[in-house]
Amino acid sequence: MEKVFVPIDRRLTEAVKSRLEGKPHLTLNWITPHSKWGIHSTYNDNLRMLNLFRGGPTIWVSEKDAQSIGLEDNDWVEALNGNGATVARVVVSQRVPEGMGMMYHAQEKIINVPGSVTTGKRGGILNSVTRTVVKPTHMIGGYAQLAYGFNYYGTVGSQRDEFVILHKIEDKDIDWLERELTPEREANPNPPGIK
Amino acid sequence: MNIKAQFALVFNLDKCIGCHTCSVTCKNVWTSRKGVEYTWFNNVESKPGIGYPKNWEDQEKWHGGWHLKNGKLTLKSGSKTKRLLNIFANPDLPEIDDYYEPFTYNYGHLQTAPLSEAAPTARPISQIDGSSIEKISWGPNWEDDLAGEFKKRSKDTNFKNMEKEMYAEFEHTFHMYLPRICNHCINPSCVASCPSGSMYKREEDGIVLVDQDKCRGWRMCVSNCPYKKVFYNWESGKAEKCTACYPRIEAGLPTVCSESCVGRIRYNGVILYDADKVSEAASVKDDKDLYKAQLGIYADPNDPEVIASARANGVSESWIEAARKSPIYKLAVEWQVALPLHPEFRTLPMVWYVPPLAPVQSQIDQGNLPTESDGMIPKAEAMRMPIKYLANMFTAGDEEPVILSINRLIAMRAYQRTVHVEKKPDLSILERVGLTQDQVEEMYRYMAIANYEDRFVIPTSSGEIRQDDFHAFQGSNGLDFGNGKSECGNTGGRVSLFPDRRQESMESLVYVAPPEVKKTVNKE
Repeated sequence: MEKVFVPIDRRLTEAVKSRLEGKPHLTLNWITPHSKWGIHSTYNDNLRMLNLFRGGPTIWVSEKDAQSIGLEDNDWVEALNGNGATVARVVVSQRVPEGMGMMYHAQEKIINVPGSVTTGKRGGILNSVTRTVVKPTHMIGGYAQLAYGFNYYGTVGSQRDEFVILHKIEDKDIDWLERELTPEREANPNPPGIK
Repeated sequence: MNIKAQFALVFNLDKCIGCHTCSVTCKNVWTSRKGVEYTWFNNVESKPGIGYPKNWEDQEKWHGGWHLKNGKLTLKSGSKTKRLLNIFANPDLPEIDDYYEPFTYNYGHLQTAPLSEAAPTARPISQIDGSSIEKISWGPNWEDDLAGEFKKRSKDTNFKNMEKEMYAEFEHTFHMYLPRICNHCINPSCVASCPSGSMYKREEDGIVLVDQDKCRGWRMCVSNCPYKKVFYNWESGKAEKCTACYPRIEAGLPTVCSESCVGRIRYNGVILYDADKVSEAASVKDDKDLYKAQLGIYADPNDPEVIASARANGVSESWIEAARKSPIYKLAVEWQVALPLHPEFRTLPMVWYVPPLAPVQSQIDQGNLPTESDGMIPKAEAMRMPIKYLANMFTAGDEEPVILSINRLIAMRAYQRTVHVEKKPDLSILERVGLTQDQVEEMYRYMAIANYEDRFVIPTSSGEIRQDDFHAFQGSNGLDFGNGKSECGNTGGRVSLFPDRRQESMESLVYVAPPEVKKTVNKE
């Protein structure tokens, strides 16, 4: 039997591919560096700084990747995997190597973030597609909000070695999710049209 | 000889980190007002890129600055008659979308949104009319850190006469920041084009200003400034621009953008120049000679003749002293590491730039870069940043001054490396670039250490000696304006050098209601 070496764990991206129903998409290595306008992961999206770039969350991809699925600078995109989804506008740049999707840390979803087309919820932040899990020692004491996952508060950032699927959202399909909450909608964990 | 003094700046691009602290502090101090939401007196551009406003460098499009017509220096926008004919419909005027639609957000929605199917988000609205913006599509720093396709950014005119396609590749990417303010030009085209005579260049320090009382809002300055650094305030109906923070300069303080610069890249100082040579320097035939021509009008502040002429023109002793210690003179004239931005606009700009070095050390160590015979100094031509690109930006395409400047910067590093690492100073490095040991030690102090006192040598304006009575204003004016009260203890209204809103001539007329006409009812 032919042995295929797969160096990366793609379960989280493979799991959600079917939701895209064959739409053109990219599978990207997810990088979330600290921005030049914030110290560590402090928020820097005040009005001045928002005016000084794109005025909302952005995801950077390379020009070649963008071309391959017909993405243009400033298009709306969604990045998702088995952990979650995030919506932002794309920055197409030669500065980014092929295969990388980069979203700077600490961009708030209370500013200019529409709904995710695959989850039907407000598009998330950079961490929506990474696992928020803790190491066992943090669970001593049995805090109910914490659950175990390997190496989250670890010495390395391996929990961020994540892959995402990135696809374009047409401007006309942008949904700001500002409709009133109805009892039917509240009863249904997934909004209409979402499997 | 007719020596005048000019306040000037140098920005060391080699140290600019693109943090935009200059832009933010400038915006907070000067243009955080209605009518100028889109205005950034100071902005930082990522190059290669088209900048703010879009393609400002392309004078084929905007017709800003000067050109030679039949050997005579004339405004590029054409003759006075042509400008007069276009006064109601200036074809070269940038529109709001050339800058950007300034935006804010519907923040209130975050607090007032009814129970909805998802947590609320604040959507963008226009700062001008409050209307909703579906998708923000341009900003004053849209291209930050090479954001946007190369195809769009490479419309940058600094790629003139270059094979630019190869720079689209990831492996050949290059990038630099270009912070910009008004250049307070010696030959300002904005002043020359103003039909109301409201723009002027100050006699004492050369700062270019708009008289807010005389401005009639024709906006010829906006289109004729090739750097697009005069802006129209749509609320007051007047032109506004970078004032070189003159209230601070007069008090001996650096401009706000310079003071707040974390990279210590900005130098403020005085240059003495010969006003008799200006017209000749701005009219040299070949664009490539403009840089040297401008250097030629700068006067040696240690020359007794120059000093005598300056004194005769009323330049105060403190200004002459400052000119002798001027960091600008050292960077631009003595070491020739600073270069003007687009001298081909022929305005003789007074904000000069030290060109950036590409990071090279590891490339040299790995033997990837062709070097001079010593193995220390890489050939400037082989560096990542194309010399031609820099030359198009700073010397109208002449590569020689750019190479000299860059080689001197590299030599300074290489020499300091022999001093601090190898402990054996190697003077041969300096000889090749024509610098002495004393000079390079001083360069190091000014450019690497960059102490506050070295960067900013600003004499106070000595306003008192121009008054009839030396003590006329004693105790009456502080750093504020208009109400004659000092900052502390004053509870008066906010003070601004710019008027708040448009003064319509109609507003001065008192409205008189027409007499009521009684209806006559026919009782018949």
